[in-house]
Amino acid sequence: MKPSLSTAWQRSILWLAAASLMILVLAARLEVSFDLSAFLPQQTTLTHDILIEQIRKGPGSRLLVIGVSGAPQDRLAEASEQLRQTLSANPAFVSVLNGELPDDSATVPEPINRYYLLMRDIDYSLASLQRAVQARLQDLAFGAGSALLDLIARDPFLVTLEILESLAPVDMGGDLWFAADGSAVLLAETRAASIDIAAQSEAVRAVRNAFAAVPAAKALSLDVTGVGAFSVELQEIIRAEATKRTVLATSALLLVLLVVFRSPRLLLLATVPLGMGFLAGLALVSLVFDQVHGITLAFGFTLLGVAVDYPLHLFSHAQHDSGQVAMQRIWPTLRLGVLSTVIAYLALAFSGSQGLAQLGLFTAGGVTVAMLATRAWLPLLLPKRQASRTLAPEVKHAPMLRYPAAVIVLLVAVVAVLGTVEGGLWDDELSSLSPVAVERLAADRSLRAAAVTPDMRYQLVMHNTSLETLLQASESADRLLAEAVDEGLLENWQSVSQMLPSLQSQQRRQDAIPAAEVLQRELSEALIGTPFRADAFDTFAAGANTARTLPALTPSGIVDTPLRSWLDSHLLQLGGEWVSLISVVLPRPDELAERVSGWNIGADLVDLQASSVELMRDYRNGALRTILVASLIIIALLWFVRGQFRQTLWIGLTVAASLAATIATITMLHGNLTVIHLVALLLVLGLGLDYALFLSRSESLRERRATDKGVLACAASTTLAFGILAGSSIPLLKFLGLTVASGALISYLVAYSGSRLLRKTVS
Amino acid sequence: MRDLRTTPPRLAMTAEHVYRLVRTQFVLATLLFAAPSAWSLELGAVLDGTTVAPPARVGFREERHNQMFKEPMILTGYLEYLQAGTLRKVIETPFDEAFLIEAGQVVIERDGTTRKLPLRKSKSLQTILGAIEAILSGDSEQLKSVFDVELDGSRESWSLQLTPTSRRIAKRLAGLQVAGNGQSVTSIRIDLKNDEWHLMELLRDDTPL
Repeated sequence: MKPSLSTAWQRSILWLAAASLMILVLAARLEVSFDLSAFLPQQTTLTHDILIEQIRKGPGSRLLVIGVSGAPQDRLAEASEQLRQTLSANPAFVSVLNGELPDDSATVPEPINRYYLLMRDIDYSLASLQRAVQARLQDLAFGAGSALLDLIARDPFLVTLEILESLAPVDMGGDLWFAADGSAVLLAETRAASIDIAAQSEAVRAVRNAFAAVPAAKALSLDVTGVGAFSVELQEIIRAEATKRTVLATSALLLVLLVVFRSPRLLLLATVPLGMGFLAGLALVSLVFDQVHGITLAFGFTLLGVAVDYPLHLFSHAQHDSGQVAMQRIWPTLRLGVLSTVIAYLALAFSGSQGLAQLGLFTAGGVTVAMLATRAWLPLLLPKRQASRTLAPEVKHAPMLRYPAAVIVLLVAVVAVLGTVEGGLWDDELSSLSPVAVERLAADRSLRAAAVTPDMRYQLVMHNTSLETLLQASESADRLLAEAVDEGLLENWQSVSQMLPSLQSQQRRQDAIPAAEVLQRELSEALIGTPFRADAFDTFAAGANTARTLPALTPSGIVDTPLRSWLDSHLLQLGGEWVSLISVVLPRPDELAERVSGWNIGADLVDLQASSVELMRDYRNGALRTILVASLIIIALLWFVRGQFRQTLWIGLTVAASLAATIATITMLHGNLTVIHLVALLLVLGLGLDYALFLSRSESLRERRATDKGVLACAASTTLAFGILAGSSIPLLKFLGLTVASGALISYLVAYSGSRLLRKTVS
Repeated sequence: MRDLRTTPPRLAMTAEHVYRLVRTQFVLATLLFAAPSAWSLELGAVLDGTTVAPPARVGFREERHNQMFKEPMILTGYLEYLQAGTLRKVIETPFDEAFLIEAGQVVIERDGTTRKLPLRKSKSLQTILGAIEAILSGDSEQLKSVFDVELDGSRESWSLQLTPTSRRIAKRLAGLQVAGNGQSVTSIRIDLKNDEWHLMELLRDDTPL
């Protein structure tokens, strides 16, 4: 039955309309993100939530780390100071530090400057004032300078210093920061969030411009790291690589097609299902998710890899028949292969990270639509052929399926993996999921280490829907922790309530401030018999009077101050919950945890390092479980459809052997496996199934030749295209590329060598 | 957790600033060990005669003037040079307090409690320590590389004016004036900014411990 021209036209118009619709959806919905944490697992527990939130938006995430190297220290010190001055004047930065104490360091940062009298309980009695005045005289017997005098004049109790000391996690020495490799280091905190890629890009440019203005900058070298800088780099790399590698991979693919089919028209047609699949996958992802990750967008085309096989199978079988007849022949096998692949990719969509969910959904949707396009549209576009006249019913042969090859490969691979992998198959470092290159992360760590920043490993976590209740609980924790410090259970701590007291405490402290004339009278009395002038503490008296009527300090009052980062690291908002993180410095963990459990203030001592490893383990185990279930469903499906136990066994064995050999190969090349390798192995599973399904078909000799040709074309094009991806500098893509390229090759070799001889005849 | 670091403490600055001023002040005070006997008005000759052998002790009376005071605060006590690198200032009136500088830190003793502050290598502090070393070791060249030096008077009554050449140090320290007679240093005056100055007079009864 030949289709009329009008049928072909009708179909084409229908498909083109569908494509236009998808383009419209993309135009309306598509928003791209370059969030570095997209491939981190989605949270399951509050602790994991906190961990991810810290990485995404934590205090460190808005820091650009700047390293200047290439000259003697004196020279670098000057460059560092000049950079600090230039960037400090730039409104894009909240603060810029290079380790030195700026000359204006006597300035007390907001909100402490305004609210210091509400941040601590102060005794304003005459006796207390007298003690304070006496203590300040002793300070002035040793210290001097206008900074100290100004400080004492406005704050005879030195509450400001007490607050600053409690908030400062480390003692700052006032030395310029130098990294181990000699680079001068600066930390610039951007006003914009790290996910605001445009603003981060501006900030990085501002750093480069400031650096270019340093005298003899050409002799020096600059490195900028940090979450924002890496996001900008990722965007640039993706732009550069997406173009280059997509062009390369597509060219390789087209070359293979041209060699195998020798027809420019087929070349063009082969891209139709892929294009439709790409559009559909992307439209689906942009409908389901608010933002599409740059990696999904830029490399989705390559990730659809397996979909290229469908037109190839069709073309091979359509060389002697019309497209529709060929399609009818391969349809059962194709359908089975696609169904299995879609099951595998849907498993990915539920494996636990947003990045993987996007990839899974994108590929599942894309593959389905590519198959539909191959089935319903492509055959109509193929060149028409005369139906074979000598159509005696062809004799079908079942291939002889050999097990030894697969069994041997499986065993060797398992032994190889066991021999290669030391200390576990898996890499449980969170950083292994970062799309940032290992060397860049190492550079960042080395620069950061110069600026002594505290270890945040142990946190006391409390949460509540009411901020006020939480702050009051945190104040209780402050009191209990002070006792624990005296007992030596920890060295120090930082909690949100040290800067942001509960409304209740703020009110109590306001009420405790005496009326202006009372305070003035007490002060005058306290100063009798001292060298101080009568008006020496007028600034303090005025400040106290103002503090009595200040509106209460709230988180929103801290947002535009230098202490915002500090607040962000100790107070989070997760969903409807406020979370207080009390950083515990040098605890005796077990004893402190036991003590905390007896406090009954809803606090838990959390070890974030252990928690991060646990998070990765849960993530990977979850992904593995999902994939295992998917594999069982696929095998059951095969058995159900093909109905032959031995054939199903052979397919299962072949695919398992290919996967094992691929794992052995990549552990030898990459060391431990990450979740990214798991994703790639899923694609290998899909490809391996496809090859095994086709090569185990019962078919005529002529069909068998077409099948061989089609499968070879599939394997060659996939291996080439993913081999090109393996050269990427983005770790994620390098892992994907290498795993799939080797997996495709291995799957082909195992399936082909296990099914070559034709033996028995079936009707 | 490498990735979970907080912003470095801009907050620490104020506290640290105060301590640095405090340390600087103390180090300057130790200068008075520097020139116990200057017989020549040649700087080199003055420095040649300045080597001090620990242990040594000298009493002092100090006036501290600043804008918060209606009258100067008067301190008395003694200074000790216990061994190379270990110096101690003990205040006896109007209150008890002691500062010990030793092994890269200052130990403050007040009301029976001690507090330790690390003496890190800030550039200005290094400069000043270098100057002290220069005076103790008689290295006039090194002293001249850090201060503008002016020597006036006679052998019986000389005065050494030291003005920091570094602008950074000059922001906090206007200068030092060391005075002496034929036998020893008699006073040291430290001028800071904003009409703040300290005058330490050394009492003659300096005797070996």
